[in-house]
Amino acid sequence: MVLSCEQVRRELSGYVDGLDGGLDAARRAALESHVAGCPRCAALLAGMRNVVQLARDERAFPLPAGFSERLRGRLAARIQPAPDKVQAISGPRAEPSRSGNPLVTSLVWATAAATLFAALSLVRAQYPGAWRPKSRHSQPAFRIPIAQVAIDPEGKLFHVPQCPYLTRKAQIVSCSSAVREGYTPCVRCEGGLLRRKPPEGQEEDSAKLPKGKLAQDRLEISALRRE
Amino acid sequence: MSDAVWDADGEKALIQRIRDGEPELFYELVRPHERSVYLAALAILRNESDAEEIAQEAVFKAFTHLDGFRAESRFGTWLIQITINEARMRRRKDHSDIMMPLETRPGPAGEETDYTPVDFADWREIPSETLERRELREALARALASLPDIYREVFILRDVRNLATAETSELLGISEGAVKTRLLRARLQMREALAPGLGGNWSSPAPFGKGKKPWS
Repeated sequence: MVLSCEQVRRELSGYVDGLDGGLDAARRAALESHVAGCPRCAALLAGMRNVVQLARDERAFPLPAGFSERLRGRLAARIQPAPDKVQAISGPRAEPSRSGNPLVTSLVWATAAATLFAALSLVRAQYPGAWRPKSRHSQPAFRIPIAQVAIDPEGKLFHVPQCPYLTRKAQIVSCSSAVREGYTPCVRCEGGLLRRKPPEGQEEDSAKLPKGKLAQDRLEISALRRE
Repeated sequence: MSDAVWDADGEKALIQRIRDGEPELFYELVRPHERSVYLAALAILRNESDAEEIAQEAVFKAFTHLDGFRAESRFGTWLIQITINEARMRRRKDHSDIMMPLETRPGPAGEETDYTPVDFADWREIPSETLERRELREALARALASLPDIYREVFILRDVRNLATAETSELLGISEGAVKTRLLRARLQMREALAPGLGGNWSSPAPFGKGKKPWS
């Protein structure tokens, strides 16, 4: 069986899939002998194999940074525990007062309050409601451009994607989500997003920006922080 | 789904507990499928932030409709189907079908016409450590976004998620033959988008030298 380039190209995908590709042995052999003598089809085949190999690698198309945390946070915010669970958390009701012993009653209530407090602080720790920057030593961005930025998932700063100070594995996310996650601007590449200290006797740097734009950015940031 | 381990009994027990009043366990049920959900949304929507939003919507929808889930199917498959439906609804709403350039629309003969590669750049080897490079991942994301919708859907489900042809055809509601032809086209186009850059460029050092700042 002799195959033309066109026929080969139509079968390449099935050939790359191996035994699942649905090509019989004779066709596979014919394809192989064609590819051996045709550099163009050989290049297509090699490239297609690379594409498939890359695509299957989990690192090729990673989840956006912070995806799981955001999903979990949203779910927690939208799912209300069933009513009987709430009662279980806040402790036994009614029964203790029937015992008539004020000491027992107050003890039970104290326990209930402690349990509730513990439960709340646990929730608080898991889903921090209050926005806070990842690093105490850096300033938050004072405006948020509509742009993609690069973050190191283990780091604290966000960068212009080509920033040389971004040394480790980076993920590309939108600037607003980086800020929401608590990342702060890299001083070297995103310094423009930091409020600069005004020189003595001069007006603050930000005063030069159009008032409306700045006010809007501030609103955006405070909205993000509340989220 | 083709996940290596599927703990059917564990899944069933977990669903039962959620229905019996422990809704906070729902995330545990979803967690193994997070990536699949995101990728299914990305398959339809192309844009990463839209995909994330729809993935969240789909998960929440699955939660509110958990009573409608039948135990004979897998939770993962059901969740992916919800995601694909949600994403398609969003795509329809955004009219992105209309925005698609004419030549990429599947015409009547669109799937059968022969594809003629315009570039034969040789791309023999791709060491897997190049995946650590940001440029390669960015190039992959760009190449993926450049695929027409019908090819991207098939490519993500078949090659990225590694689903079988039959499962892909069922999820997308197209024939197995269509899955195969679209996959061939998608792979060839991905190769074409990536091969020229991969003829050595990816192994080159950082794109800017000392003293040259990318932001200036």
